[in-house]
Amino acid sequence: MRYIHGFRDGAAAAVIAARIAASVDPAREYHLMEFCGGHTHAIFRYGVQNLLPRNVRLVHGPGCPVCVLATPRLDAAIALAGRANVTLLSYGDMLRVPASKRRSLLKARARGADVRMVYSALETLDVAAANPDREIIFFAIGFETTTPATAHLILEAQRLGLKNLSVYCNHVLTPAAIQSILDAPGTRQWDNVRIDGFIGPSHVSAVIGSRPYEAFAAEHRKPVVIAGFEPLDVMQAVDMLVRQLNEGRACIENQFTRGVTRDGNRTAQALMAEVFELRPEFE
Amino acid sequence: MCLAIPVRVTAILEHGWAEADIGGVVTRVSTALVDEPAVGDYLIVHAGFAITRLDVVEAEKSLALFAEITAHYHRAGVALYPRLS
Repeated sequence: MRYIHGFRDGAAAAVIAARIAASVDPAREYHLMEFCGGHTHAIFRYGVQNLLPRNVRLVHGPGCPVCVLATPRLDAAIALAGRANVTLLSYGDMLRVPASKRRSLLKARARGADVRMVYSALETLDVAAANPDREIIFFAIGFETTTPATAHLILEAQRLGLKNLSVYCNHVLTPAAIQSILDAPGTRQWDNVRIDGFIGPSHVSAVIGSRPYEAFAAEHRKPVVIAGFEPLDVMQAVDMLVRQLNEGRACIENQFTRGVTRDGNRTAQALMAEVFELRPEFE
Repeated sequence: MCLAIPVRVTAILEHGWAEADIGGVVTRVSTALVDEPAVGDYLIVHAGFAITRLDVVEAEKSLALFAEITAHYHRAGVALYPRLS
């Protein structure tokens, strides 16, 4: 598709690399962190780091809530899956994540628990309808990219009158997670981890918009560029960050204009507000 | 995890669903989170849900910018790395 492969063009990548090389100040270092594992994946898959000047370093960030989910939550999910008469469903990448005592949901399934992988949260509805005598639990995880899907699932379960479906909610908010990383002891002084600017995730921002990042760019005086996940998106974001740093600016800029607006997806936000309540801490 | 893909809507189905083309594969996606999707629209889909529309005008602007700077560099004869034939 044009809107995938168009953003993987090698000739354009070489040109953006030349633009970046021409604009960097050789006397300084540029340490840019990508928050999202999706960007890390693109950087390694397409060799983006090798296209950048030596003094532009990509610092790989924390990744997603699948990898960083608190172990007690995963242990609790495994315990739920082990109960008689329970079917537990979750996204595929969650099933492999190690819990305590080297357990995982996949291993629980191997031992006989009814653990199933879903691509869409809505598949839970079909499973619940087909198994009225079993308790169906959706192990809900993720940032605001998956949270509206869970909200929609809950409303649909209500509309269909399904009594045997529950959700084990482990959703987290992106701005809170980012703030927590920035406030961590050691990071705050910017001594241990030197970061000059951030590459922000695009798909979660399609839902929340670019506005939530504005406060933290102002507070931390670090530029943020929200970028898509194709190699040209990442290259262009680096170019934009280098230019901001050269000009002494610390603004929110949006490279992924094809999917992110300042306000985000209001329909999805309204759905989350209707179904979920905010709590001050995850654990 | 939060990786979404662009799809093109090929048919509108009942109850907030659409049929969509993902690079030749046709599948069903939920359109509960987007307002009034139409056939031919591009959507960005994550875990079975369209999380937003793909703004084709903006996507074309980005691609045109890449094409323009590429043409400019080639005209100027700048040596590029990696070298491209």
